Amino acid sequence: MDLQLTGKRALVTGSNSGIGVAAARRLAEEGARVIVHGRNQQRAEAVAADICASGHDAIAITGDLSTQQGCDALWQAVEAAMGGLDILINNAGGSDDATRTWETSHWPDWIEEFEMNAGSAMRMTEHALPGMIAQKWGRIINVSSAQATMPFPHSSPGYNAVKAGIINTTTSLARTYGKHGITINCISPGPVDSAVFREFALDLPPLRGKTFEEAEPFLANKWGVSAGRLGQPDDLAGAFTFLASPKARFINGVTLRVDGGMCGFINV
Amino acid sequence: MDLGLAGKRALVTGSTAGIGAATVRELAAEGARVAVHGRNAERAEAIAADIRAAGGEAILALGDLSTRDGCNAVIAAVEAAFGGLDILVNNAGGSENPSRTWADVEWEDFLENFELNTGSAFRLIKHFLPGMKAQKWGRIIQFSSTGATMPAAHTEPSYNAVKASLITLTTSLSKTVARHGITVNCVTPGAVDTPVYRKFVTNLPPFQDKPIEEINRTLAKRWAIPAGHLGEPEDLAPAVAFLCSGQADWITGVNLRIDGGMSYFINT
Ligand SMILES: NC(=O)c1ccc[n+]([C@@H]2O[C@H](COP(=O)([O-])OP(=O)(O)OC[C@H]3O[C@@H](n4cnc5c(N)ncnc54)[C@H](OP(=O)(O)O)[C@@H]3O)[C@@H](O)[C@H]2O)c1
Ligand SMILES: NC(=O)c1ccc[n+]([C@@H]2O[C@H](COP(=O)([O-])OP(=O)(O)OC[C@H]3O[C@@H](n4cnc5c(N)ncnc54)[C@H](OP(=O)(O)O)[C@@H]3O)[C@@H](O)[C@H]2O)c1
Repeated sequence: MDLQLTGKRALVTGSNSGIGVAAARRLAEEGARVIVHGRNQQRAEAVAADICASGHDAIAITGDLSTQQGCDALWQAVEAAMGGLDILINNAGGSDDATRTWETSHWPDWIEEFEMNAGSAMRMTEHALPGMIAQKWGRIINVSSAQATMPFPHSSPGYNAVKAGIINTTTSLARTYGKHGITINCISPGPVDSAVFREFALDLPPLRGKTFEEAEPFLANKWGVSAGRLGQPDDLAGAFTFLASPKARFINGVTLRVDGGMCGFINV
Repeated sequence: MDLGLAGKRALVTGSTAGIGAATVRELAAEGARVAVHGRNAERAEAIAADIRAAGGEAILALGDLSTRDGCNAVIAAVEAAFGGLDILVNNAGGSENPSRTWADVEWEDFLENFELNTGSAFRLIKHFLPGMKAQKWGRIIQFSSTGATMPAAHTEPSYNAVKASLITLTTSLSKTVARHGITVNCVTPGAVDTPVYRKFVTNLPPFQDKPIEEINRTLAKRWAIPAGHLGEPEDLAPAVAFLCSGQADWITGVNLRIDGGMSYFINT
């Protein structure tokens, strides 16, 4: 399917590792001009170079998005490089400590998680919207988490809550800006084999010392991933790219689960 | 993006008109071998001929899906030509009388709608599932409606309730077959400009004798569709093709809204 993405200017935040790499690469393969981003410059440049080596178009711009200043600086660099954006993927996020529980996390942790996940997305959205409105076309894709809609006990309460806020924001933005030819959607991943995820999962007490391959069936079973396996970053690349395409113009305000069937409740 | 659909055997029910027709064309354009289905042989043949003229492969599978005999006829035609299915799109559906309200709906109407919308899907799934399991690959897609998820006052109560059952059927079945390489998903269209839609709206008292463009503009406003316009069948078809594709291996049990942002509640 021709996704008609040739020449579209795309920023994928947090694309120097994990899910973001797969999304950035796939967009570039479909002809988009992609900005690879993260805090770590070396990894960002390596990903961009790799994409370029396959004959596609990518540059690296780095910066911390958990502060207003960092977001403003990234936006300035984006404008200087491309004059604006057609596609914004707010993928950067996570938590400084994925093992937080209700007992071990405190309000400052919540603030940090809000800044890193929602603050980054909202500030970049604010920057990108005026240009998209002016050109009457734009795509914004946020990233939530299965944990937002089915929070596990004893697991990252602040992170889960902020990811839930992102689902709400997605529909709110869609209802506000849909008339400008802009869609705002969200992807909600289940457990995906990224570097941070491995570090977290393989440190769970029953899995210490195990390889990912040994741990995977146990985790899929424990978390009720019906597919019987965890996700690979590539499992999400198609969904990002499809939602970014003009072919998805009538999909707006949705949160698409890409989770191997982990969320066991009906999806409305 | 390569959807990996070349050579896949697909049945799209209700593909002589509207969303189904656009979907069957899309799948054929991606290289799938398709069965065009409806009750009307002439329209089915016209679409199949179009597909063949464009270099695709299409057969006919005709029959009334609201009866067991009709389903069996469709199954027989598909088996004879393809010997099984890789992709089953349960798109056929609707209501004999979309202007029913709680004031005049009867229990018989619920049963009739259940036969056409859910019974047809159920019978076809039951027949084709074992083959998909044996080959460890399959795609099953249902069609619900925003009538199911956001039923308005004075809109077809039996249609709305029956369409809701397809969302639950989807998540339920997805869990049972996920480990066999089969994904089961649902699509929820909002207002889409198809023949049945036109027949319905042009008979509404305030709209008789009005041009369709004017009716659509009025309704897009009244229904507060953020996109500012109704959907076209071509807005649905690519999303169905994406869900059928190898790019969506890890998406199962979901219900994808395609409604221009009309659903006013968050999507979880
Ligand atoms: N993997 C999963 O199982 C899973 C499940 C549900 C949701 N998610 C969500 O999916 C998204 C991607 O996750 P992932 O697993 O691919 O994570 P990852 O491999 O850790 O990647 C996170 C990316 O975000 C960047 N980043 C993090 N904090 C940042 C900050 N303050 N400023 C700028 N960039 C920052 C990182 O760059 P640097 O390393 O250079 O800072 C990296 O590129 C996240 O939003 C995550 O919450 C993941
Ligand atoms: N259009 C919308 O606004 C909208 C909104 C929400 C949901 N939907 C759903 O989307 C699906 C497609 O709708 P559409 O608007 O594209 O419909 P449409 O234009 O009326 O087309 C319906 C198709 O289904 C076939 N069909 C109807 N009843 C049948 C029966 N008893 N046995 C076999 N085939 C039958 C028709 O073929 P023949 O005429 O040849 O029999 C035709 O090909 C339906 O499930 C509908 O409920 C539509």
